[in-house]
Amino acid sequence: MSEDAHLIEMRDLARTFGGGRTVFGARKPQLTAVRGVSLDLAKGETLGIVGESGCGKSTLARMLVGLDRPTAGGIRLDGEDLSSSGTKALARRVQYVFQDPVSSLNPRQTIREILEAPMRHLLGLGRAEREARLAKLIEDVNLRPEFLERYPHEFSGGQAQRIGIARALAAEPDVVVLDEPVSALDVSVQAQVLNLLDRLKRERGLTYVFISHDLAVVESIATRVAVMYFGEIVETAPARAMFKAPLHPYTKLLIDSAPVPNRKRGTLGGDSGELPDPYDPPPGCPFAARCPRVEADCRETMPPLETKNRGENHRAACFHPLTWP
Amino acid sequence: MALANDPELIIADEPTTALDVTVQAEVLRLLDELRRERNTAVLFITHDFGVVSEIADRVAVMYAGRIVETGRTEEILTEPAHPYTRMLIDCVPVMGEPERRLDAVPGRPPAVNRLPPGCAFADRCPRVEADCRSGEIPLEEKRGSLQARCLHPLQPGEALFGEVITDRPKGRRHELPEANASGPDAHGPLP
Repeated sequence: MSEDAHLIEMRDLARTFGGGRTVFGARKPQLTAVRGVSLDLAKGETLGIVGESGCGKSTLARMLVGLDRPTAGGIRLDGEDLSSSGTKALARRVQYVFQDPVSSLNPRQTIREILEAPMRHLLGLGRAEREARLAKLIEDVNLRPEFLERYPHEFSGGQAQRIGIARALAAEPDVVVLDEPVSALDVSVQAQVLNLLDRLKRERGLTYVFISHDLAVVESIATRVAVMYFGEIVETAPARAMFKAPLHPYTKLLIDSAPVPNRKRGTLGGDSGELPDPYDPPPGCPFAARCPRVEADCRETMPPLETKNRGENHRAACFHPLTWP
Repeated sequence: MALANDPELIIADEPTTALDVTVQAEVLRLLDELRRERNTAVLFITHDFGVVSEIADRVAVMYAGRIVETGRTEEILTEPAHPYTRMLIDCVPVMGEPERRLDAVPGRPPAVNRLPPGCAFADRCPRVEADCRSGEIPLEEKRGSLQARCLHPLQPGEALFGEVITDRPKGRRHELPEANASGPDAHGPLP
């Protein structure tokens, strides 16, 4: 994979909230949601981002689509720095699908108005062109044309999520960032939406960033996975390699915690550990307190995200990675 | 809070659905311990088959207001008799099986105030025959611990569409005919 094949490059991306001082000069608490994430996105891949709640997945996604600005670091799209080009150019290329399908649609607009907005504002299409695209779009997401005149509350969760996907596709983006797109859906509907995403990706040559806490879903859809913990990426690898033999103990904990049909765990796993206090981050590896393989050096410095003995694409931020036969 | 009165039955309605996997595993372990220590019965409502196999001894599958199949967990999960159970299991991605095809259940549940005569699942069932659409179909013993409300139940190892499967097909998943294009109530809002 050559360097210029990267669609999006994130370099040392960080986002802090709070901070500063009150009018009386007392320090306000500061929280770092994302701390120095560097990640590349290749064209045509589906990058799964997994991690527990509060690990910074959504903040990272929001920065990717320009809903939030990084405190430090930069995002480059096709080599062009996004912080200078403005949100409109970004929105044209990168679109977002929200977690809650119904509440992310404007209840006072018909589906037609919702889907036409990006075509009008981002692509500047005329009425006839919009009409033609709408018909194609609504068919692509398996909805019927008469749905265009309805309002969001008339739809089920699965239908509303397909409208959310159609809205993201209306601007003809290259990258779609999906933030837990199926978490709020019923299992039978979840499969429909996953299959739809799979087909749209093939038909339109899309690149996905797929955020989820459901590892089984990520494994089935992602080509590459990045595991986040406490605002940092602790492991990234091709999906198959990661699920077969993770390097980072945290990844293993996540995989072992996911319930699998017909697998009864002898001892039900699950540790009582929690994330470190984000207002007072530890100096070393943030997972050290929960890690079964922790040693003294883990508590002193944060291990860098680097390749281990598993090839160029499998990286982990761990001093004592797991070994597999 | 549910334990304050030292109850004999705990009803847990999707208690872990919104949780992270690590926390979910912890809650399940806790619930399982309490059940053993206090001899409490647990009625656990969930849509996650992984959680089911972890916590349940016995499973009842509901569809359109009725129990359509019940039996011991391992039997239900490996060789269900009711086609709905089979399809429900098949539409969920499973860890460790990324190549698994996700077959969405086509169609939608019937409106509960307009249930069809016979089997409520008939319109979505690949094994439907004429006799499914009339009369009352009882919940009967099929094999092993399984009881199912079905006139044409699946035999062990039998696939939904009649042929006997040796190995589940692998490769690209495909899309089944779309849900909302069928059914008389497909236009209206969902309940």
